[in-house]
Amino acid sequence: MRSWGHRTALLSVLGCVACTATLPGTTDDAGGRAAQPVAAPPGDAVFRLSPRVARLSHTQWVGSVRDLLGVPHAEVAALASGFVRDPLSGTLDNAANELVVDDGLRADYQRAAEALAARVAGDVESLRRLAPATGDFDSRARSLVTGLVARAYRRPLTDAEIVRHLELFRQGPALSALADPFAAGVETLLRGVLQSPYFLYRTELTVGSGTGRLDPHEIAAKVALALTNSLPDSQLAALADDGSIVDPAVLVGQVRRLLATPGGGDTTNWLHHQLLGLRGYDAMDKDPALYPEFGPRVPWAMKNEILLFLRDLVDRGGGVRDVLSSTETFVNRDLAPLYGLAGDFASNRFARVELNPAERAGLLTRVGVMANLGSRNVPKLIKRGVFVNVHLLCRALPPPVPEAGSAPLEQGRTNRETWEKNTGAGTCGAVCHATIVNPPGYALEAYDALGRFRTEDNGYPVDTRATFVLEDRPYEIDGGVDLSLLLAESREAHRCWIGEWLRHLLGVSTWASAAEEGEAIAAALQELADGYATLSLVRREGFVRMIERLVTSDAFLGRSL
Amino acid sequence: MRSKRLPVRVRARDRRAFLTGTAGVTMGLPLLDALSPRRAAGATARPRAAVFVMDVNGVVQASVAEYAGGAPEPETFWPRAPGPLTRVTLEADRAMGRVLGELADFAERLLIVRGVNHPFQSRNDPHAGGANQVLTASSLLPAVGNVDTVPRGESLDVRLAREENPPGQGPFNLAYLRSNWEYVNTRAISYQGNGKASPFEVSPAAAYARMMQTASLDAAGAERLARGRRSVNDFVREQMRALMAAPALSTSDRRRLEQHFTAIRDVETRIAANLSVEQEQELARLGGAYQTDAARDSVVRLHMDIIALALGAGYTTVATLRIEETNQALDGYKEIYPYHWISHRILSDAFHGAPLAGALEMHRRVNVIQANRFKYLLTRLAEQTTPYGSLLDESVAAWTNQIGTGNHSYRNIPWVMAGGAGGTLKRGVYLDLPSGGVTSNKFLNALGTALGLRNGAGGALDDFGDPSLPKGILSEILT
Repeated sequence: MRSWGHRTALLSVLGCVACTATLPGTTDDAGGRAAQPVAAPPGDAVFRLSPRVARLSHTQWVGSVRDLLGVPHAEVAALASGFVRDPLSGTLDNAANELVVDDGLRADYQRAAEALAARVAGDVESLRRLAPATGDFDSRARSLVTGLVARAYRRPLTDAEIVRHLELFRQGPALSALADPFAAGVETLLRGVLQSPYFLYRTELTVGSGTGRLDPHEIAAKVALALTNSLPDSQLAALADDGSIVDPAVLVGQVRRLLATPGGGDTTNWLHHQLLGLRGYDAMDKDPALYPEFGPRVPWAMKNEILLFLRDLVDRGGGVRDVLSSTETFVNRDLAPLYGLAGDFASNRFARVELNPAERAGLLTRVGVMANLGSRNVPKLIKRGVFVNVHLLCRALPPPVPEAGSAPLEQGRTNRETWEKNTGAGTCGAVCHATIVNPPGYALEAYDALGRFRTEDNGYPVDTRATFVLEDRPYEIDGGVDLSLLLAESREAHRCWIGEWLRHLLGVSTWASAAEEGEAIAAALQELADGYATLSLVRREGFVRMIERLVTSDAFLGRSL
Repeated sequence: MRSKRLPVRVRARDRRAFLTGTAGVTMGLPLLDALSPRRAAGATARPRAAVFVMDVNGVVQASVAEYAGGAPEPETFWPRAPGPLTRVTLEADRAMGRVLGELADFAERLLIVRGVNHPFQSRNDPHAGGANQVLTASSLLPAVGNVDTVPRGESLDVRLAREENPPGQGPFNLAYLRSNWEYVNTRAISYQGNGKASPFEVSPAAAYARMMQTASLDAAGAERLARGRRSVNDFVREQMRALMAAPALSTSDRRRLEQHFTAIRDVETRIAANLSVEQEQELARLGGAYQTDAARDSVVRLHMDIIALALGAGYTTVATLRIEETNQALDGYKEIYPYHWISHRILSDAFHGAPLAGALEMHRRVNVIQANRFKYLLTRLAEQTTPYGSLLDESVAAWTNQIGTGNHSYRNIPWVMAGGAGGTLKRGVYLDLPSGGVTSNKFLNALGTALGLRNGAGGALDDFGDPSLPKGILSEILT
């Protein structure tokens, strides 16, 4: 049975926060969608600490090369798949303060640049697309430099730079195997441009005194990379060229437009893919005797469902509350039976469905999340508890006691009983497990190792009651739906999920040890996330609204001069 | 169809491989001497290569139970008696089921050390905590979300690369692992310090291609490519200098750019030797499928072939190979069990589950497979010659593990060395360290010293590892 008393208590606490919080510029209608300038929580500390040179992530490199040269995505991605992997400390691949070019990657960039330059310069169709077909050698070359190269560098070139690039172009015939001098120039130029630091790094370089904002081209580059993992497209580039991108209303319009492009959708998916470790689903394995429904297509379908669910929610103006509580999702023929849904579903087409609200609420109760936190045959109760704490609440858990895991466990009649005997109250793990890790795991015992809803475990009724402490208050919960709805109203959960979005949009690592400024950025970002959590929790603002606010705010646009 | 090769075409198995510049000029080993910062300063002239192979899930050994409840297990790993090693003693060990007996062919070149202990307890995942310490002897930092750890200090291979490789060129790190993201960053062997893992390559084809950049061109093509690269490098260097001079940059911005700038080289230390036709066919056969259980043995062998080639040609002085096996199909067993289950002796990845019958023997059999993989690497290294002798004898090939036993003991970490590092390490001996052994920093100090590393005062390396640990050097392993 659900207990709503605690939730009322929680909401009254939140209501209090809303009464006292100062939210500069939040006078617009929370539900409004007008493209008006909107204010955001202050972010001075963030921009003061952000890197001024941000190397492209491998994903951004692929998107940028694809869009710059018009080479098919798969072909570019195949080149990048051989790149030295970035050994990142966190989950997001665009943590610019950690991204470096070491010897291996430098060699990889070189090889890729040579391969791409040869491919484009040696292909009549590509040449026609990229360079003017008519005019003399010099004017065609100049046009290429001021057009294509400026696009690659995400800014216009200075006169001196144009001269230097033309010089490199003219060396082409002596350095290329191509017979056509113009094609040889293109090949040599592209080799240089694709290895140029102005292509490989997004930069913020204007200096002066005091504080200021990024220049129009820097704004366009930062927005394009954050929202589409690529270069500014022609519309955004034109708004940078004429300077109108600095108008917040224009910028907000571009944010909405870019999010709706295929590149925008892919980038949202990629964020969720990384955050939830969906790549790990490929290694999912289930006991065929217990789970005959499981097959090689199922992990793919589970990943797809999660991406469709989250993307749809973002597109429709949803926010953290919806992530944690929505009963809508998308299923195909492989997933429908796992949710107990009858009907005629196609194997590779996903249909929007409404799940049973007594059994499911939000991301946590999706079959993929639960199955990934299940072993071949039993739910991983402890891992589920850790997932809620670490991934949904961004809590730093203390390490387990050293002897944990070395002794054989005393078996119980049910999965819960086994873990109660070995980690619950009265054991050495009493404090951490009994109050922090185990309660969410208990609540999620109604989902088996494949994520199916169950009422029995090993022939005994499942017990999903638990006491979970959130923001220093104990809450009585019963089941995954109850847990999810509690999280959906929790500031901790809103701050956590929003914090990940902020890390992604700002492209920084907050991991203290890996990046020199990591600790300071983490503190600044925490404060920023707290401001946005209030907007999300109290004003029910969705992700798109948050992005609009952030992208037009100092945290994103500001810098020390 | 096979592509045309450089005029200098040397089979690694026949003769030692050669370095080439991008112009295809054969340069041989002295090139690395010229490029290495320390060698340029004249500290030493004799290159000593090192390769570290790390397996997972421990070995079956009679370990002092570290944690309460850890059941005592039989000894199946170490030789039966400390002292000199010969083919005869190791073959007898092998007949008695001792895993290291598998290396009998290399008995006189082995140095086996029992009693090296990880200095720090795990903070969470004991596999990660162990892997973090193998080459670092470092205390641990929480990684993202505090679910796993990374080491505070740098690893020995990174230190060696910094002193022995050309500027900006880190250790040559390869790995076999299944496509499971979870283990990528927290169970590595090579770390750059401050919690940052070194880059590593999982695709043998990509690793090979990186080494062999010019190999598919004829001489004229290679010469033209070299000229083109010089022009482009000049162009990129100018831009890098201009960017690095920008006043807006922070110290860390500038440091990242400097690392990039340092890595730009006109003379490429790419190698002109190549894998055999069969090996290249195997690379082609694998294609993109190098992160599956089925590909494991093939990938590991290719990684070893490539490492031997890289060390032999002086492409790098130090390499690591991390092997994360998952499901291990064992001859004579009908069922295939996850290796992690086998190492825990139960039918589960978790800490509880039904007993897995015969797990002890299965684990020993996996250790036998791992020993034979190491033997394969030793064979590849022994086949190559340097001006001073066989590459194996001039090098150290070390085989180790994340942890000591399946129940995550951090004591008696397997350390099996071969080669002797050009005569600086003892050979043909099994040392069983007294009094419970030593913390691994002392062992790594000795290994580093044997490979030419020195402390700040120019003496034997004695301060590697976590600064909180007592300094010292396990001189018993040095000649």
